[in-house]
Amino acid sequence: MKKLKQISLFLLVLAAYIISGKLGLQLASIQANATPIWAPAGIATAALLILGYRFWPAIFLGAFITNITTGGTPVAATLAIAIGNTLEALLAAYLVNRFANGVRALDKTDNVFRFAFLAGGVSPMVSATIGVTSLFLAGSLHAADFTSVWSTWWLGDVGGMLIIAPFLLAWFTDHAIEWSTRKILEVVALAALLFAFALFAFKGTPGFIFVFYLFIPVFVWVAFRFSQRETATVLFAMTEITLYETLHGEGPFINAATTLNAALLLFQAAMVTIAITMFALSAASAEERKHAVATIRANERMEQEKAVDAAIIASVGDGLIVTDQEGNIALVNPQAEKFLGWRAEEIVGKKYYDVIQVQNEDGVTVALSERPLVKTVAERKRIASGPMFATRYYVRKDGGRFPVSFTKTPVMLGGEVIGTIEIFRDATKGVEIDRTKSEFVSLAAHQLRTPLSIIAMHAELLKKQGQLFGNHDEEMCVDYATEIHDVAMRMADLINDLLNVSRIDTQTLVVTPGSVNVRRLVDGILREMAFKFSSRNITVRTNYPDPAPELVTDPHLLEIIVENLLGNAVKYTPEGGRVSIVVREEELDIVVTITDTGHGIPHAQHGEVFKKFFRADNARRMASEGTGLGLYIVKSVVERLGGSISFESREGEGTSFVVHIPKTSAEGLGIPEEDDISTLAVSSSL
Amino acid sequence: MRKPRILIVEDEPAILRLLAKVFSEEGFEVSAAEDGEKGLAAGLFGQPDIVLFDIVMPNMDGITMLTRMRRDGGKWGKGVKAIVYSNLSYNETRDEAREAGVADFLVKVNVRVDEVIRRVREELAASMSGELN
Repeated sequence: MKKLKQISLFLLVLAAYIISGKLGLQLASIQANATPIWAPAGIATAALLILGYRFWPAIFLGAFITNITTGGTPVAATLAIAIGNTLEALLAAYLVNRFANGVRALDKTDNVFRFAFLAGGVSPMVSATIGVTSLFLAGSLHAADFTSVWSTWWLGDVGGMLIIAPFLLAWFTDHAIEWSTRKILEVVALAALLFAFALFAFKGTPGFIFVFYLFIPVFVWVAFRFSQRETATVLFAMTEITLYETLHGEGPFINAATTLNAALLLFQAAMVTIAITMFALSAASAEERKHAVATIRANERMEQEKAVDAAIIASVGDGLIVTDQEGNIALVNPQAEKFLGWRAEEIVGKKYYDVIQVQNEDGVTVALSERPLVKTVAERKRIASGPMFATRYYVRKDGGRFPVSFTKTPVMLGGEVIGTIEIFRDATKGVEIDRTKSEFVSLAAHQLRTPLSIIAMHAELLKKQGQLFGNHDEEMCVDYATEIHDVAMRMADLINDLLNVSRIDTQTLVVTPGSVNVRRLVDGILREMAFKFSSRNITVRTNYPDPAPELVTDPHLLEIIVENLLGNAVKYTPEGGRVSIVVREEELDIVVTITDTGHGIPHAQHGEVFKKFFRADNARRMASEGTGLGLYIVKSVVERLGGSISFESREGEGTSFVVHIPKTSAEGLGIPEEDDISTLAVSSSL
Repeated sequence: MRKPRILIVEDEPAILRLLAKVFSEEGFEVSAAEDGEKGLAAGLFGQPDIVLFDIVMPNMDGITMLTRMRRDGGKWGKGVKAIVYSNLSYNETRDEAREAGVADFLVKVNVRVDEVIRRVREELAASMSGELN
């Protein structure tokens, strides 16, 4: 199959060569083998470029057959001519492949010129020189005619190279243009114009060669508006028409020259000049179109990338600030606006240092030289907040501040810092979590280990006692057992606290409502705590409405509230002090007020009383024992029951906590919310 | 030979009582204090041979107390043996303790009472031999 195709192509090239050669040689007037129009040169070169060098035998054979059948040329001269023609095509194809991008020679302006010079100018010299010399040696040519035959030969081949070869190449390579109605109309208009000009040039005013220049604007039009394929086609068509007309004695060329050969040479020269110019123009125009399309594409891509960038910058959860070489703010994303309280248009273009103040933990503004941005630029490396650095705070527009976690990256260009990119976020939560974590660890270390060590120590000594036969100190045994028991209870309380905190934090605190008599509940707790009060000589007074109010709530949770508040009251009230519990009934709530004459809470710390792990400074000073969980639990439980808690306190005078609990279990009580159910299973296993 | 004298500073009454009893039985002359402030006063006044103390305590913590003893206690303050007996086990605390000149660092949950006694005796023996030299 492939072979058949190869043979067909071979025969096709051969046939095209012979037919066009025969047609060309018919025009040979000054010598039978030298014609001013030699299309086979172009056909041969195009064939070798498109099909490959191995098709040279078709050309050799074609040239031989064409010339041997012409005007009784000696066999030796014919062989030489065939060799010359083959060499010409091979050289042209080689040079074009090597220097002018091969079959795509017409795509670019510089390749068009290379093609014109190498294929059009240089290669035909080989054919002309070998051909004319061999004719001369064979005696078919007089020395006097050598130059004119040579130049006819040469120019004939040049025409073939520059009109025919481009035509074939352009149709072979894919220069498809997009056809539209408009384009088709353009083609019709062009054809009409060409036809009109042709009529004028060949049938109208005769004699004046410059008439031919009428066609130039039309060619330019084609070159600019269409591709090489159309340009080559129009040039080819014009060549054929002009040739036909000239041969029939019409048109400007025949009138400008005395012989047909001269007219054809003149015409050939004109066509070749025009062809080079037009192919170059067309290539330039194609390049520009390609460039324009590429630019449009690039712009589109850039727009797209820009849109994507903008979307990324806007959607980043962290704040983003870009500064330029001078430290001016160049870009701020919405998140950064939110964190800082500034709007982008208020701060873009301003100095970063002027806009964003940095403070340390104690609220002291950080010196410029110590600021991360300066370090980033000076040290030319990324700087990030983290455990290695002290916590930094950014001051907001409204003067408030927040702990910040950030990464600053210098933007480098050729070893120079041309700006910085900062990513930052409000680290309040992180700082809070860190604090809570470390507080929990210290709590576990101290508060859990202490009772445990007490138990261990006493048990150790009890064991030792047991090992000393007949020497039992009974009093000591009871004392130690009591210590162990007390401290075990303390531990149990602590563990209950921790469990409650865990339930609160995981929102799995279950409320089981029941009917509660407040008086009975409070009195019960007081009975259990009686020893604590009496041992420190603290008097307790209670005041209940009559009859004592009933309410529907979770009795166990209410106990937690009252126990904790009373526990604090007794713990932080000096010996001989007073504690009072007053219960009041309101329309919707039961109000329990627990007042002591204790140490009170420092005014500055009122805001932090209900925070997890918080312990007032004076409380810490007075007793190292204490978790700071009690009031956090109380507030959470009160709120879980639908109530509220507030307090008044003066340092050194006492504290009064007021708890409001709804009388009937409102919504939200009893049934945990749906999404709590999954975690319930976990909490019940605690 | 006179009795060795120990000062125990501990805010947890159960532990303080127990240690006081145990060291008395071991033949020590014991003084006890329930926070750093009282411990400092007792130390400067009584000039014991060794101080066994907790770190986290009300009013004044143990490290501050020892630092003050070293500063204000003259020759005794500079030379007195001190052992931490605490439930803190952080490296930072340990470093602070070393800086204050602590001879040993005992973590309550990790040592038995017997061990506490042994360590106290060891330190005392070391200081005695040091004096002899």
